[in-house]
Amino acid sequence: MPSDSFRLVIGPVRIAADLSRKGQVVWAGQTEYAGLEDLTDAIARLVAEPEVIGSLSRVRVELERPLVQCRTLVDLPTVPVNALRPMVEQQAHRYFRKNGKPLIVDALRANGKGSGVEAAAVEEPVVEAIWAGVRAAGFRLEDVAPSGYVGRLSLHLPAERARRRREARLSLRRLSLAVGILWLMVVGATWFNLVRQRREIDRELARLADPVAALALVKGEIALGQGMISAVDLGAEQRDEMVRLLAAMTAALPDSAFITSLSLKHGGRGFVGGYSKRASEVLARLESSGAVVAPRLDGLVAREVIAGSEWERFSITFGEEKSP
Amino acid sequence: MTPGRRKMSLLVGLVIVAIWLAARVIPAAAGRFMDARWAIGERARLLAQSRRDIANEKILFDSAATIKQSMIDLAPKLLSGETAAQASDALTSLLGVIAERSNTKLTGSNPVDDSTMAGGLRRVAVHATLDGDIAGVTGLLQGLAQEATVLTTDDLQLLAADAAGTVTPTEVLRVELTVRGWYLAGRN
Repeated sequence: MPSDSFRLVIGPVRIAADLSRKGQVVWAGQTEYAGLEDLTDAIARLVAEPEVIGSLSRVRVELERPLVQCRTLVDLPTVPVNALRPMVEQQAHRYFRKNGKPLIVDALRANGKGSGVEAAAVEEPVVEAIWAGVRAAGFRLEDVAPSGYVGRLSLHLPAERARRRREARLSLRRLSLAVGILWLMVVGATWFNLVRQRREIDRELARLADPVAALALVKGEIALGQGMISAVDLGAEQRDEMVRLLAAMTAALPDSAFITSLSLKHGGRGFVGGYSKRASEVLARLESSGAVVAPRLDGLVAREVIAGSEWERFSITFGEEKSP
Repeated sequence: MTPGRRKMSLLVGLVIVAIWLAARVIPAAAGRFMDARWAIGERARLLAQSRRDIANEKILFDSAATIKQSMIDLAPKLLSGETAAQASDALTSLLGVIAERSNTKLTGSNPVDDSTMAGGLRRVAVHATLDGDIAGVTGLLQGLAQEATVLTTDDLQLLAADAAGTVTPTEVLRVELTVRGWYLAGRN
């Protein structure tokens, strides 16, 4: 409920009016009228009260029975909400008394179970008279509704309904346009901001181009130098690999063994071949000393007689093959 | 045209425009917008990096000076010569000197292709054949490892000259190995 409101409650012979401010009734009055001809004047008289004049510009009208006819209609076909009023309006003569006058009808689907429809109708001249009285007093008619249905049913004149629909459509269009313009402005502002940022960054990059290029050159030289130093340092680290490996192997071999061939490759791979009193002892010594990685006998051990003594000829491979 | 048909035509038109906007215009615009944002982000990162580099200019020049000194210190570790042929010759000569010092005999040498490079440095390799006893071979390998010029030995093969013959500690060994070293390539 609005905080300030002026309400007219119109019965068949009496009009009651009240003026509320912030939910409190600050003025009330009533008058009687005799027929439709007098209704316009009666409304004008009430609205012309000093307390009312200049306080508000809008009037809400509630119609009491039997001035307004209210019905609960059942067993109506289920139709969309916006088709309900036209349907009841078309069949108004079945549900309401017409008295030879055109009716203004409104309807809504009742809440709760079933398909009941709440409908109300008022003779059009009544609303015209109310309209004239309100307009004559310089007020604007906010709503005309049956008592108990305020905000749910509306009994405005057809022309006023059409005008309000037009206004609503216009408002919607304006709102859509405003939203569209707002979006365009947001997009435009964002794009503008992006372009501005890019220009600022480009300007700054251009300003720093020369020092950055000089530094890039220095960085490149540093990277180049580091690469060269690393390459030589790596070589220096690996340079004694062969001598270490050879020393470790010769130290690991038993006194009763001698080597006839040896191959060492980078990474500790290779093979060693030779003679020993016991080939298995050579393998065991190489394995236990840790001189080489994964030593294994290659082929069968052959027994040979050299200088009158029996020797075992061995061939041992070692090192792990790198997977491709 | 009746108001109903006009309304329907308008609705159809609006739907077509909406579909066109949703399917073409909005994705394209959004794509361009995202691209522009990404590009700006990248350029902003580049700018930040440039500013950091400039702010750290002193550290960078200090590093450059250190590297320069390290490169000067690198000189004795490199082979002489500015071309692969010159460096190979230098390597062969050096190998001969070390072999002589370790009582082994250099019986043959030939350059091996090596395309490894690091900055201005290039690597050369020489495959050499030598004869000597086990003490000489050990001395040779130690000499290669301790030489001021950084030399790396690879693919070492030892073969007793008389493998099936007499068993004696003074046996003659045939040694084959590949020795590699670095040189600084000339500007040209």
